[in-house]
Amino acid sequence: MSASPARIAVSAIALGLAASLATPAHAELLARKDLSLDTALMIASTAAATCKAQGYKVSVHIVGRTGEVLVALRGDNASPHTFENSMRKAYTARTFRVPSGEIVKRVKENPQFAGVFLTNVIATQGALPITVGDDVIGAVGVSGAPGGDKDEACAKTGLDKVADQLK
Amino acid sequence: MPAKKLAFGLFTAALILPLAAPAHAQLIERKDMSYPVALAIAQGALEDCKTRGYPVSVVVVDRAGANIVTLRADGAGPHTMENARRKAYTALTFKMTSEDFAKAMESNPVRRQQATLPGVIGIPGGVPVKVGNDVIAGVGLSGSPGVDEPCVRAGLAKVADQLK
Repeated sequence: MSASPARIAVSAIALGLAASLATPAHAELLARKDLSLDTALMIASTAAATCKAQGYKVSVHIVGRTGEVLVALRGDNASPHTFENSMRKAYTARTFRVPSGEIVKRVKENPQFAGVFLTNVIATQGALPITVGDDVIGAVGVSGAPGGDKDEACAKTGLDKVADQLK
Repeated sequence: MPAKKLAFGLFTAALILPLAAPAHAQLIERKDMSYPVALAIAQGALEDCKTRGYPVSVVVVDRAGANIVTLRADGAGPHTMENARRKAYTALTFKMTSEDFAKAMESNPVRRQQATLPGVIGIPGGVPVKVGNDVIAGVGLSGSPGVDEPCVRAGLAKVADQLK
């Protein structure tokens, strides 16, 4: 078969396309950090202990990068709703990459903000994203203290406890 | 007052009184699972499986079937958390290991029907937690190739002194 220059060119382009779709030379896996159980449990148990020391009966959730539950703790005599509430706060902080209290403001500014209608999202203060640099790798949510600000303060002590590990 | 009327009055009073406000009414006095004990069980079970080389999820549920502690080990499969919860719930509500429940499913059609209730599952790895004969909690674990229950029992052994 005699190959005309045009044919060669077409073949070359086709080959180039196929090759780039199949295995691009620049393809790389994601290199990133994720929460370990040890770190997650340290954050959660510290947040729970802080609230307990103040007399608050709380539940605490830690979710990972995909919103999956890594650790869930129900404090002695915490009200039933606090368990789900702490999970939803944590999920909200993780997926929107901001403290869940920020979503309260967003809803105030824009009552049409549809994010709050998604499953597991809740516009209530008490959860903080867990970050490594700018990368949100999870979140901690607390529920049961008399006020979302107090829930959030307990969550913060958990994050402070492992600050040196979050890098 | 004629004797008949008096007798009827007494009879009526005797019927109504125990229904209205029985003098012997009492609250239930019993022990319940606490957060520190639940956490010790879960961590003990997870560590035991980790030592064997298996990353697992563990769930401890209370008397009402509500989660008290849930832990997901580094590298545990996505399904293991739900599986652990369902094993724990099955052990708690049927007051038997989930392995015994699974065996009963083979011969007992009622057990097979019960397995269709939400949250129930017939897979070994769930163990009821007892104080005497009172089942106060359930522990479920998932993620090992066949030693889920031994790992749970290692966790329970850590708090044996407190379960009374």
